[in-house]
Parts: sequence; C-alpha cells; structure tokens
Amino acid sequence: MKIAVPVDGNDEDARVAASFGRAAQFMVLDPETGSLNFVDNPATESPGGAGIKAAQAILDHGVTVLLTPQCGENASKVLRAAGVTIQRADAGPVKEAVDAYLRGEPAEPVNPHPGFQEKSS
Amino acid sequence: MTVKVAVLSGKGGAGKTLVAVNLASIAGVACYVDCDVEEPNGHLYFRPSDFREQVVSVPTPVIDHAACTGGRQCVEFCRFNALAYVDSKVLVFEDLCHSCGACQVICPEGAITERSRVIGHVRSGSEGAIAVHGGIMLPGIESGVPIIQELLRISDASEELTLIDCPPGASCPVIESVRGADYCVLVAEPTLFGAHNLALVHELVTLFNKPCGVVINKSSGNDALIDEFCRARQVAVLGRIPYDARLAEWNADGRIVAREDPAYAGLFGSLLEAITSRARA
Repeated sequence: MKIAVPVDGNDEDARVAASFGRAAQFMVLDPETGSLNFVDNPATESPGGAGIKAAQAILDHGVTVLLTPQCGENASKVLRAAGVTIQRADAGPVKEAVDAYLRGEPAEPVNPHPGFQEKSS
Repeated sequence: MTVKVAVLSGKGGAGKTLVAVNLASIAGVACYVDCDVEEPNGHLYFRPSDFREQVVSVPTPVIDHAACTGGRQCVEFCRFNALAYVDSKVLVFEDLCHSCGACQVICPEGAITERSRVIGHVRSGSEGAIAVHGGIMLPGIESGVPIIQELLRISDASEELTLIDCPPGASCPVIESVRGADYCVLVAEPTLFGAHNLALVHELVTLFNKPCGVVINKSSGNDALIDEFCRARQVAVLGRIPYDARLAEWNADGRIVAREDPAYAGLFGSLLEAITSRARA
C-alpha cells in the first residue's frame, strides 16, 4: 500500500492542501516500509487538465490510496481506472489525516466535483 | 475593399448585438457574423428565412490499444493534459482535447488515428443584401472556438463590410473573433463595472495591435468614467447611444432600432461612417 496526500509543504508538519490537482506537493507514504517522500505536483500551474496530470503523477509513484478533501471528476476517472482508493481527508495536519486512515476510522467518500478549469480556454 | 469590424464589450448586455445589427442594417449591403455560439441571438433581428445549417466537427484521437506499446509519448506531449496512461491503456479526455493532432504525429507506433466529433452547427442565410451567419454549440460541449473559426472561414469570402458580433468576455472565443478584424468597436456602459470591462477589452485589442474606438451605450448625460478612460488611453469615442426605454422594448421584440426611429438611423449612420473611415485609414 502506498498513500498519497496533497499537501502545502515538504515536511511532516505540512498541512493537507485544499485541492488535489493544484496542490503544491504530494506526500507519498508507504506504511509497511516506512518510506516517506514529498513529490512536486507537475500540474500546479497547468492552465487546464490539472487533475488528470496530477493523477498521472501519483499513479507513476505507485500510489494505491489517495486521501484528499476534494477530487475532480477527471482525476477521479483516472484514479478509479487504476483501482486507486480515494478517501476523504479533512483539512489539518497531514499526520492526523494519515493516522486517522491507518487507524481505520470511517471516512466519507469523496464526491467528485466537475472541476475548476476555465471554459473555452 | 472589404472591411472587417469586430464589436466587443467584455461584459454581456452592454450592447454588442445592438451595435453590430444596426450597423449592418444601416450599411444595407453587409455580412453579419454572430460569434456568440453559446447564446446566439443576432438571427432574431434579421430573421433570415433561408437558414442553411452545417455540422461542425473536430478531430478527436482514437487509440488502437493493441498497437500501443506504452511509450507514453502522447501523454507526455499533450499540453492540454487530455491524455492519461492507466492500466496499460491511454485514456482520452475529449472535453480537454484541442484537436491539435500532436499525439497522432508523435506516436512512434502509429497507434493513434482520429475520428470526427460533432460539436455544433453553423447557419447561414440572408435578409435582403445582408448575409447572416451564426452558430451554436451542442449542449455539454466545452469550447465553441472551432465553431467560431468555421463561421469566420465561411464569412471570409464576403466582399462586403463584415460585422463580427463577438461573444461576451475577453478569453479564447473573443480572441478568436477579433483575430482577423481590421478594426474593433468597444461598446461600454458608463458605469464603474462598464469602465472595468472596457479596460479589459481595450487591453486585449491593444495586445493584438488592433485599432479601436469606443461606443458608449445607455448614456444618460454623465459618461465621465468612460470619457476619462478614453482620454487617458487616447481612444476615440465614436458615438453615444442614449439611455432610452424604447430601445429595450424594440430589442426585446426583435426589432432593429434604426428601422424604428429616423433619429437612430441617423445615429447609426454617423457611427458607421466614423468606423469605416477609421478602419480604412
């Protein structure tokens, strides 16, 4: 299992970022091996399709679980096609979000939203 | 010599269609192009009885999954992020595709072909010597730009004065609509909101090196906000359309105001002269 969480910084004190596709970084954690990485999100500045690009990036890091406050329809489509579990993470320290998931606390499912990209760009 | 005049405003409801339709009507021989393909309404004034409709479609990639070897060049190259590689398959997000064809060119396996995806229609007809063109997007389609391109391609053949009635806003559909124009008419309301929107569209046409002039609509005697902007930027105020409740009534009824009141025929006549003399200069 590899868990990704969108975060606003690159250390363990980082907080969960409000958006998935445009988050600055992803914290990628393997609870079995204890390996912990902070990965830059290549989609932060994308004019459109950020969710797809961000989803591709975390898939390429072998992520199997995504904890996020929100997820767009397109990102969700990419991640679901790859069998990634998407679960809701509350705003706050990323540590708490990961601990809550690992304790098996029930979380609401994430309802994919229709996206933020500008129309007709 | 044919002259192409684009009419734009930033905000909606400022009077783009009022100005474009009346200028075409006063010209008598003209080509009117309604580039608002999200909410077209120019045809409601001219009511062409001979509207001919044509489908507009765009190429969209189709992946041959058997031929794909997973090199992912297409995914990496797509600057619109319309492709993803998941579970040994390329996923295509058609709404994000801009039909540039790069994925097909870059695929070393020849695994990408294209199919046509219908996104809307263009319609052409006439009222007397006024050619009327317009288009409409299908529900759910993200971008109307290819429909605008098709409209401008069709109307490009016109030898007459062409009036391009732009969509609202100042983004891609408007940029596409003004790209080929010789002159831009910026319609502004004399309000703070109107002045802000005028600044946006003025910046846009300046970026494209288009000569422009301003028409103040709904003028009620105090146009200081717009006048000051025009003075500061050295933009000519070409005309003022008064705040007049009858205009709203006639418009709502699909009537062309220059045909309802000789005073408006005079106003739009002078405006047409001001615009064409500047556009030809």
